Amino acid sequence: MNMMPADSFAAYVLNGLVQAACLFLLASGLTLIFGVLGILNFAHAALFMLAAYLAAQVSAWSGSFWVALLVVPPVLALLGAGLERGLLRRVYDVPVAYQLLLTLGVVLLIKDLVKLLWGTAWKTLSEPPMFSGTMMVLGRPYPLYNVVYIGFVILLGLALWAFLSRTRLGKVVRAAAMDRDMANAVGINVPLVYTGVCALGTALAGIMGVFHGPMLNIHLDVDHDYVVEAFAVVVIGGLGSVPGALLGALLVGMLDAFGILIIPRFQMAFIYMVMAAVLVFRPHGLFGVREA
Amino acid sequence: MASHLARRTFLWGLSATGAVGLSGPLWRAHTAWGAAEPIKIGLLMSFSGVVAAWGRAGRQGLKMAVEELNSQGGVLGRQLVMKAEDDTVNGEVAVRKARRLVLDWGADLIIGFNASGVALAVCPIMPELKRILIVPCADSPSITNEKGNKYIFRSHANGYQTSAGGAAFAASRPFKRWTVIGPDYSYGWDAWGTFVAHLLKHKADVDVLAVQAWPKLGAGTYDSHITKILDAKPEGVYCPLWGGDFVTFVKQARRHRFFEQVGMFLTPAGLAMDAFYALADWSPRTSEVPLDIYTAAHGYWPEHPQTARHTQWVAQFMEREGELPHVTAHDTYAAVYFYKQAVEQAGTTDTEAVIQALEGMVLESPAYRKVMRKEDHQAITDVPWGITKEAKDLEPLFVRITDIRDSKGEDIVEPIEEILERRKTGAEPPWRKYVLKG
Repeated sequence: MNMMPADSFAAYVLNGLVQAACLFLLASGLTLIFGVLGILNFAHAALFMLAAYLAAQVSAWSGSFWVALLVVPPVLALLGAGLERGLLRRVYDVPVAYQLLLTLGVVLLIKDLVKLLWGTAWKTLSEPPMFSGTMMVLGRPYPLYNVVYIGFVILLGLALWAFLSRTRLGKVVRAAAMDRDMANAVGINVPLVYTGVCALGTALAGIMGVFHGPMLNIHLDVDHDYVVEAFAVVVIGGLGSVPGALLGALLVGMLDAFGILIIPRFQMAFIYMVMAAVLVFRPHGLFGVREA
Repeated sequence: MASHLARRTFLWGLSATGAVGLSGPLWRAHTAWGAAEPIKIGLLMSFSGVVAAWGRAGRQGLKMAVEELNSQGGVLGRQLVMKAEDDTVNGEVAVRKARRLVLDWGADLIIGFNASGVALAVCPIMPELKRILIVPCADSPSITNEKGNKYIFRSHANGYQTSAGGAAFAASRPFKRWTVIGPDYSYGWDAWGTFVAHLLKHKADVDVLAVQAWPKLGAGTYDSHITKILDAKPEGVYCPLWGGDFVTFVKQARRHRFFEQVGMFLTPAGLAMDAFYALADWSPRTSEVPLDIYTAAHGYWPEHPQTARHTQWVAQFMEREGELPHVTAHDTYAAVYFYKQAVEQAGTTDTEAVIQALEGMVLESPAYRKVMRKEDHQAITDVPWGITKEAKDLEPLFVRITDIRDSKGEDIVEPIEEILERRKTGAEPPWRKYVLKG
């Protein structure tokens, strides 16, 4: 293959980063909830879908993207807290199959709720006018919103990292994840931590719903477009590891972007090959912790 | 989207939750009084997934036709009843539900399918079910050609016909370097392949680029496909993406200034009514639909042709649904009338007799005259191609298709000899060679 011009290369890297940003938003919440609660929440992507609908609705009513960004993540956090309190809490000690069935049930519930409220017509959400244009990247037009999106997710990722590693609350969360009984014994209110983590993880899906909304056509199965890759990201990075989700998202995002260029026919196969290799050589994921 | 419309839908959804619970038992008691055996029409379309708006449109068209005919006393004095099922854009689900509609519910007719892949999965079981399947939307030529059998009819122009019309438009402009961004399955391949084959007939010096983009159905992200296509510097792009995929593609492509960098952009099915609604914005009365691109709107636009009959039909539709009709609403409505005419001509709903009546039947649908070709059961019908222009007066779309010219049905339909020859030899359609996936 000929040398790629610098502007094309930059465009592909940015394309990969956008894909990575959206996968990280979805996978970080998923992996955080798994890391602490020990439950693989199949409903996580469906909650993103619900958030996208809510964002479209709120921004249609208010005429502003920012109102949606202000309203939707807290609403999703409440839903996440409710999900933990009302349902997940009851299944921590039952076999995994039941946990999966429960979260799959929640997926169906969310889909029917969305269908009831909004029907099956498309919904769309517009980005704020100040970010709607095109910018020049090495002389080539590139979507400004993509770059803003990448920047926002980097900031969010840093905030998440700072919270988990630099704050007392973050230490509490990590302690609860590491050893539930010991955390309880030293006086941490573990049930409250669980509720809080589920709320936080779900709020991340809410943020994705708002921030990713303007890039797509919002429909009932919009979660399908991302859910498989998000799970791949979590597996590659290591179940329960937020830095792992970041690395996995970057890897999958870049494979997506450059895969289309190099061998489009095997674009998805690349991702599964990486996933398979990780499962064979590091079954606990690149950043995952081997179970004791 | 329109904020007041959205709010109304939202509230309607809330109130319907209560209403369904209340009206269920009453409704059942009422229908139990029915006297003559009704004629049962099963609809199988996508009510979920990336093309759900198209299934919804099909249901609107079916419901309108059924209620209209029932208010006139039914067909052969029998009332029509309908049952709509979601194929979930999945061939296996569709096969199961088609069987259930016929064997359990007793459907006399199946109307169905938005996505060609789903239709192709069901075609082979129709002989076993001994029921007619009328396809008013799915576009792959194979449905009535390679996979066709005597039970399959299509009331809609197929991808070959639409692309042949588009190629005539494309040939009238000086552009030579052509490529495609289309969905990676039969419909996308056939739409592009037939477009190129016809373009080459009009114009021998066309350069078909090896750089082509074939995202999967429901891809969600098109940025890298867009970068790849733009780097190949095409002059013309043919885009058989459709439904939600096309809406997503437009939203992403606009930001790359894709449409400004391409001399001519044609989409056979992308800009159907669902995309116009999805891409419109009430405040400030604009639309994300790109201007000056060419589209067939999948074969129908409510402002064309402006005959008294068609204008009145559109007004009736809007009265019922509060929105402009989608091509699939129009063509599903037409499918019911094809069946009605055939049943009346045959004097029975017996499948074999209705098949005979349908072959060669002429139907005046609200917009077009459609002739059901006897040999392959493919409707010969005109296809409109036009160009998008700003239209602040057209609420709530703010963009319309103008300068529409109809490609004449007989000029664009695939010659029957070629189809019969391919059926005999089992050869792959010759246009598939233009599909280059790298």
